Amino acid sequence: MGLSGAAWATLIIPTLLGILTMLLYGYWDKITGKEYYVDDEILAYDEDLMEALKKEGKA
Amino acid sequence: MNAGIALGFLIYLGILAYIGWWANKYTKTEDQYFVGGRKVHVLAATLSDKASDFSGWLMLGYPGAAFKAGLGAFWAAIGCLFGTLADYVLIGPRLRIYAGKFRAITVPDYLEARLKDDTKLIRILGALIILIFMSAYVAAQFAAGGKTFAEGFGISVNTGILITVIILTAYVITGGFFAVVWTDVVQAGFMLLTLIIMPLLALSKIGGLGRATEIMSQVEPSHLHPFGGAAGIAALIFAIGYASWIVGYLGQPHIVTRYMSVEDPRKLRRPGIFISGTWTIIVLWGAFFAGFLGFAMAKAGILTVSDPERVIPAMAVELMPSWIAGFVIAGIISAVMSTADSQLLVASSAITRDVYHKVLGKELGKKQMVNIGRLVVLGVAIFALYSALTGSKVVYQMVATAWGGLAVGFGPILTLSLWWKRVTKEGGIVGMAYGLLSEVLLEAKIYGWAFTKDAPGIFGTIGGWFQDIPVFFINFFVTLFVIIIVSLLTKPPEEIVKTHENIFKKVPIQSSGKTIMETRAKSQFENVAEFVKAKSLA
Repeated sequence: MGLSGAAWATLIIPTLLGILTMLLYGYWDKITGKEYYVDDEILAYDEDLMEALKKEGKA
Repeated sequence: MNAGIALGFLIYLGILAYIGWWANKYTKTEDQYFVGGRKVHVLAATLSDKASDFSGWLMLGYPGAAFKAGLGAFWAAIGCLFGTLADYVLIGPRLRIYAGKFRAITVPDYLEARLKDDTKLIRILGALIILIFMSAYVAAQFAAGGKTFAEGFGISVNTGILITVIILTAYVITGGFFAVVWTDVVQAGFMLLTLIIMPLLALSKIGGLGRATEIMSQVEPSHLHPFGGAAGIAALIFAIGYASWIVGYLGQPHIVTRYMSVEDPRKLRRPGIFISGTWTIIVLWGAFFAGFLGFAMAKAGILTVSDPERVIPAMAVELMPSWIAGFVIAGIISAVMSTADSQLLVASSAITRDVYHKVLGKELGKKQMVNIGRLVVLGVAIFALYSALTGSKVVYQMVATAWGGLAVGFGPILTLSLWWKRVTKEGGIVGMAYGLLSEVLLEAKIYGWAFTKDAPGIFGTIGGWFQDIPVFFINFFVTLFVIIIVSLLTKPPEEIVKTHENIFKKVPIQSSGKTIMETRAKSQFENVAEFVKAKSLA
C-alpha cells in the first residue's frame, strides 16, 4: 500500500524547508554581496599553535 | 565474545588511539586544550558539533521512538534539524567573532566579557549551570556506553562502563579539544555509515516500503498517522512536544563551543551549515526508518526485539555478517562517546578556566594550566564513573533536567547577547539565575519533562493551560522575557553598545575571490601588479 500523501508530506516538506534554509543562509553573503568583517584580531589564533604549525610548514 | 565484532571494534579503537597521540602535539596551552587554539578545521568543527549533539539517543533512543510511535516520531527529527540550522543562523558565526575578539575559551568567558560583568556572577552562574547539568550528562553517557558494550560483547554493564571511561578519558586527557573534535569526525563517519546501511538492509529484508506499511496498517494503523492518531489541538501539541527541541539547541555549551573553535567565522556559513545540515538530514532519516521498518520486521517475525531502543543492535547482530556488526556496534558506541567526550571537556573547562583560573584568580604557566585541565578531566570522569556505577538518584534527576536546564540557562542570554546591543549584565544575571533555579524546580521537582494538570496547587492550574507541552519550551520564552525586561530597566555601558555595533559590520565580498586578509597580506604594489596581470594590461 505505501505511505499516504499526508505521511509523505510530513517527511518531505520539512526536509525541503531545511534544505532551502541551508541554501539561503549558506549563500546569503553572495546574495547580498556582503560578508562579516574579519581580521587577525577576530581570528585570534593561539600564538603557540601558530608557531608549532609554522615549524611543520602547515601555516 | 564474537571475534568478528571484536575485530571491527578493535580497528575503531586503533583509530581513536592514533588521533589521541597525534593531537597531543597541539595541546600546550589552555586555548589549545579547550578550543583547539581557535584554528579547528571547519569540517572537524561542524561534524564534531553534530556528533557531540546526537548522543546514544540517535542510535538507540530515536529509533526506539520510531519503533514505538511510528511516523509521529518524525517530528523529533524536524525539531533536531531546525535546531541545528538555528544554531548556525543565530549563534555560530557571531559567537565565533565575539570569541576571537574577547579571546574567550568558554561560554561563561564570552558572556562575562560581552556583558562587561565585573561582579563575576555571570561566570559563577555559568560554571554552575555547566557543572550541574554536564557532569550528570557525562554520567548518563557512561552508563549508556556500558549498556552498549554489554549488548555487543556479552560483558557486564559495569565492566562496559569501565571500558567506556578508560578509552574516552585517555584520549581526552592526552589530546584535549583536537582529539575530541577529530575523533568526533571519525565517530560521525561511523554513525553516518550505520544509519545509511541499517534502513536499506531493513527495507530489503521486509520486501519494500509497501510491504512494511501493509503490515503496520494491520497491526497498528496509528503508526502511519503523521500525528500518531491525534487531531486538532491534540495534534498541534503533539507536534510542538517534539519540535520544541529547536530552542534547546541554542544553549548547549558542548555544541556552541565548536563554533568558538572554528578557524574562520565565515566558514560556518559556507561550507559549515551544509556539512552539518546534510549530515543531520541523512542520519535522522536513517535512524527514523531503522526504527519504523524495524517495527514492521518485528511484527512480521523477521526480527526479535526485546526492547524497542535496542532495535539497531538487534538488526546488526541478527542480520549482518559479524565483522560488519562490529562496525555497527562501534557506530553506537561512537554516538555515546562523541557526546561524552565533549561534555567531559566542557565540564572540566568550567572548573579549570572559569572557577580556578578566573574566579579564584590562579594563574600558573601555560603547561601547568593544561595539566590542571587534565587533572580536572580525570576528576570529573571519576565522579561521573561513580555516579554511573551507583545510579545516583540526584544525578539522574539532573540528567532528566539537563537538556532543558542548559537550554534555558544559556539559550536566551546567548541569543540576545549576540543580536541585541541593549542587553545588560543585570539582565544576564537575573535571567541565568532564574533559568537555573526554575528548571531544577519545575522539571526535577514539580512537573517533570512536560506540563501537567496533575501538579500540586497553582502549578496544576498552570500545568492545565500548557498540558503536555515541554516545560523548557515555555520557560525558554519566559526567561527571554525576563532578560529583556531587566535589560530595559537597566543601562548597558556605552562601550559595549559601541563594540556590538561595530563588530558585526559587513563588508563587500572581494570580487577577486580573495579574502580581505589575503589582500592585506600583500603590499599595494603587489596587488596592483596582480590586477594588471589579471586584466592582461601588461
